[in-house]
Amino acid sequence: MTHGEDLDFGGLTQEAFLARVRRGLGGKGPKSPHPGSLIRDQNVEENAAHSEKVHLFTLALEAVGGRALRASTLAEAYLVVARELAGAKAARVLLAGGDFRKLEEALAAAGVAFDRWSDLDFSHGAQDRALEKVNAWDAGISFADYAVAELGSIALLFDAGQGRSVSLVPPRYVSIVRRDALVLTRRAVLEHVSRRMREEGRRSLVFVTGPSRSADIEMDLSVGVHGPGELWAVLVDE
Amino acid sequence: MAKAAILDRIDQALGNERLRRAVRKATDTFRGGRARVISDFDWEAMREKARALRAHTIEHLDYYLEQLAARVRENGGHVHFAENASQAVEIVRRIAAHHGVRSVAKSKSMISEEIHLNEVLEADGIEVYETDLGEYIIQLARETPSHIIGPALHKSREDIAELFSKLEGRPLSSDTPTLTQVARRRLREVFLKADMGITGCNFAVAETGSIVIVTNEGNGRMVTSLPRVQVTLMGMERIVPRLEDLDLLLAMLTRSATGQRTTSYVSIVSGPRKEGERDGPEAFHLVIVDNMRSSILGGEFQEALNCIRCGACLNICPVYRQIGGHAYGWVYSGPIGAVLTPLYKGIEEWGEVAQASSLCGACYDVCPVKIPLHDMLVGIRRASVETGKSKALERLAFRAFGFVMSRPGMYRAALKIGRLAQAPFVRKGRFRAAPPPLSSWLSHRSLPSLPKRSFREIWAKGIDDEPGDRRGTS
Repeated sequence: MTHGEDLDFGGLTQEAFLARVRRGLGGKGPKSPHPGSLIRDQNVEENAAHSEKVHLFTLALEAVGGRALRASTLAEAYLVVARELAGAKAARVLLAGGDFRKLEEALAAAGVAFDRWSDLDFSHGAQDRALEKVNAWDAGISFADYAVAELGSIALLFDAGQGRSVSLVPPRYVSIVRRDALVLTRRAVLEHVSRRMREEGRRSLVFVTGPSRSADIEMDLSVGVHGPGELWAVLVDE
Repeated sequence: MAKAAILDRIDQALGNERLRRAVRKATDTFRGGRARVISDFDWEAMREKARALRAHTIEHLDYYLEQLAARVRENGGHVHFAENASQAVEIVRRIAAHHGVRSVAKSKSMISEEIHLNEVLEADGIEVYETDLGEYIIQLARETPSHIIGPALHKSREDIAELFSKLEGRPLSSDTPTLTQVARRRLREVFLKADMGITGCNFAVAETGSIVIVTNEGNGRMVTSLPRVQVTLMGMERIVPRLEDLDLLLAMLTRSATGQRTTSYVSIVSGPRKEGERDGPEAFHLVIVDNMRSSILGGEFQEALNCIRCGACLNICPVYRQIGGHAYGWVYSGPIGAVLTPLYKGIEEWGEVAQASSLCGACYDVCPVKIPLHDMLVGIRRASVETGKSKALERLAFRAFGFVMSRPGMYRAALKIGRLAQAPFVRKGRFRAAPPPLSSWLSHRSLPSLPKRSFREIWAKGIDDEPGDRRGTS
């Protein structure tokens, strides 16, 4: 749809709207340059060792009520995920993105049923039913696109494989964090994603830090009010 | 009209001890959290950087708005411009009609409060559900937010249990998990059936054409992931130039608001879902709203547009802490509300709100983008006086005060006369009314009544001979 069609919904044209803004700004003197927005020196990023980032991430995530797990290989990570889900009495889980055949084998061996996000019927009219099914899963599992060590945040850059609902609708989200996904600062992620949004046409990024929380009832903390009440991050050394 | 209403609301708030306790508890919690996390880095240097970033952005607002609109369209979204509240509402109505919308899930939007959107959509037969837990509570109570971060902080758990019990048709206990689970179950149905999500906008990124929503509950994610249409309402000053600029402003916002290093969720949405994506909105509409903001540009109050809506000035303000948010009479409360309300709604009618401050400057000290709120409050007061409202009686009263105070014998005599003469005007130990010239002063204040004995008399004779006196209170 072009801007011309947008006008059908009423309001001012862009030109008229911006003219008002310019008229307002007109009286103001010389304009300041963009001041930059670095919180700290950029080279800190390069100086952090992987083990240091793992340590920071774990501290930050646990501080907000998330759970950090560790594995040296992906194969081990899948076993850890299957074991822990079985231990938490998860009956059925949802997998999204990535080649999860090894994980599927591990889940089957541990007695946890699973579905693939890519198999869900999202054709027109079936979407509601598909989402109601999401409602019934005990956990959603996907790879993290990035993880931010200083904040304990998982960053998800959505696309066909990385569904938005997977990490949101089930009561538990399990995020597998590969070595090269773990960076020190949120800023590094934003710089990277800015490029990918413009070049790859990615449309949505979410930072997830710990479980869903609310303090709207007398400042008393409660978790899982809308999003997952549990967040597990499995940090993998490879 | 605004003046009398504000006085009534302040009186009401001061008489409501439960409200004042709740407000103090909440603001103390927010302030305690903030104090713990602002030492993560050189806070003063970051404030200056954030101030400069906001100032630069507003000075180039026309450029960045143009860039934002172009990027959103490139991403497949639609952009609409509203000069005022009625245009904004009309645009949203037409979007809803265009997409055949029956049901709306909303995440928190202060601007939708500015324009009274819910009422209009409901009148069109559309169901509108607030999904932030606090907003949901006050929607059920048919009230308005009393704090920008904690909209329902004035409600007790008993109030909430009562509202939810009515909804469920069965008595509920008032413990947090029970109440949270009711909200989760009910709002989950809302998310799944809503055709349209309406969100506010903490920031909009010009470079990528993105809107940014900061939440802890995840309702912002739900509203931008499940409904097939997304509408985002944006005050035109919410913009940042580049995606990486968010890092600084998010760091300042969440620390100042709730004392968190980050919130649980930061959602960044740059248009409708891509081809092949299985969830996310199919249609994306950005409504950019002026609603008096352009009239502030270029003038002495331009920096008020730098506000990032953290609420830190509310939490620190000694006046807000006593009277809560509703007393301010409009959408925004606390020091920033006392500045914005007269600017958005008209100084002549609403200038009086700027009196709800002590000019102590604490609001400026905590502001993460260094808005000189105390100077602005003085500026609004001055502009309010310049609108020509008669203060002749007030000036007369101060002249009489000066005359009496400079003559000790007359002061003592005046006090005695006052004690005898006050009786008809005192209610619950406070002056509510008085003959002129005091009537002018008391039209917007109440004063403690004169005690039985003056301080000078107590000082001279000691206090022990009068056991009925209240002591140790202030």
